[in-house]
Amino acid sequence: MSPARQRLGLLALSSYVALLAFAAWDGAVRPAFLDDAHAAVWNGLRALRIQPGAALFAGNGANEYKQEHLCPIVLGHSTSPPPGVVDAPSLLWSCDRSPFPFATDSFQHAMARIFESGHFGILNDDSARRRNAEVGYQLVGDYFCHSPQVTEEVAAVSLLLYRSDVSWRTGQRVADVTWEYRWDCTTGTITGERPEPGALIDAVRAPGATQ
Amino acid sequence: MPRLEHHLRRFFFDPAPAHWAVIIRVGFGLVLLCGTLAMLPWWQELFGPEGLRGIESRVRLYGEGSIDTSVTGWLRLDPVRSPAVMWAVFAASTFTAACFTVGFWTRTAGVLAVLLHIALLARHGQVFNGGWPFMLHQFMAYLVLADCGRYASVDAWLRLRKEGSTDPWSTVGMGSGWPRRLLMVHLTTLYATAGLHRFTDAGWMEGSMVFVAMTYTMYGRFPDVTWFEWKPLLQAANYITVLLEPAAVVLLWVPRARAVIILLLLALHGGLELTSRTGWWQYVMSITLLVFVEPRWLKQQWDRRVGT
Repeated sequence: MSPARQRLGLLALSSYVALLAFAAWDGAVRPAFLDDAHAAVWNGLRALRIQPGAALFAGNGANEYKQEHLCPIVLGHSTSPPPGVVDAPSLLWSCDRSPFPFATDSFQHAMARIFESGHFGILNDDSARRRNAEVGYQLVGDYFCHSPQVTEEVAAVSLLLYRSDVSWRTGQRVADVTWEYRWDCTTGTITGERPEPGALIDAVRAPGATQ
Repeated sequence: MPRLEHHLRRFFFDPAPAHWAVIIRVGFGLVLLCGTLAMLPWWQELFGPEGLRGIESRVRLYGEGSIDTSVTGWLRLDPVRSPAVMWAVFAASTFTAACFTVGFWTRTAGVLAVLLHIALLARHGQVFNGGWPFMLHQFMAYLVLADCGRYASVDAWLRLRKEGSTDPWSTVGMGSGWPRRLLMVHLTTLYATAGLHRFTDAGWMEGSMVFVAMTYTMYGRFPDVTWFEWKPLLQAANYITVLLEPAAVVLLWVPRARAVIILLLLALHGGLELTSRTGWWQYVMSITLLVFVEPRWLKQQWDRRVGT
């Protein structure tokens, strides 16, 4: 390699390494003037995903209560319940997960992530519908209504997100049913309500519920 | 300035033993291959048109206009409405990953495997959402640049057989130094990003973040365990992490400390994999760490134990 080409290569490699080092410097400790001056570069790097973003479990701060359990549950409501029988939902899917993900976990994980991101409105890879908290529920509801893989015929599905928190200081648990959406398979409409704490357990244990 | 240039020249351009590229090629290839094969029972549900977040759902919900038929849309397989095509993508993903692992058409296979993984990630990102799955793409780019199929590969065997070598598997020689250096620097910056962040996060500073990771069902492998009873241990693990990652940024580059810090980091990643679910992340990081391992260490250990 000629000296000129080698020098050019050296410049390119050194610049790339400098960019990596700069991108690694955390935003909270990097002087603000650097951000102001280099916002375009920084955003470009982030877009290229050279900077891997915030740490995995970031953003929970030092609140006493930590999120412990985020449990999505899908209940199916039958097309035509027998006369005199209250619509007894069947359990189509629940949040039980294997400790060994390579075996069965990818679908479970995707479901949980869609529920979580849908609920908190951060399903951000659908840019046109970004920050629409219901998107995740709509997609899951439609899947259980129409997917050929779901053998049970249902008229509506209930999508429940159960959440409990645990105190880091005392170990005390605080349980709450965060939200319930009901998705109508025929009309494609969604209705939401916040059930009383404990209602979820009753629903899951209702007659006809199957694991 | 000439002195700095001299050091940089040596840093980037001194040839390096190519063992690292072989080991990491096989490691990444196996991660891609096994990870994709593990999704086989769920493939259509995860990526098929009738699957979760599938295109048919989106058409029912948002109309035909929601399909992105631009070049970008096609690159992320958005308009694909045929299950057969998605099966073909599965076959291509596993085939290219297998080819990359054994070093057959290594560069082409590596590039195609990465492109297919990017497309799947774009089509349904939630499937790969544990860890930083996109880092694998950049790390594999360094491997492709390093010509990682040059040794201990089917490509090498075919080439040497053509040249009439009697033992095509016998040697792993020297390779370009700069792709190895880029991978080393990039890995260091990851530890810097994670490590520096710890100091500005109140949760890490109070010692609660490992507890958070263990108890949260999204990531904890054993959510039914009452982790509060293990609080002192989890707090200790928290502070070990806070110290270890920033320390790695420096100590990985100190020859005398390198072996120890690599073992500690491997223990950290192994512990995380045993107790939490972060996708392929711990495997990718553990394999990438091997870029810092010097082949002569292994030879020294071998000579010490087995004799020369």
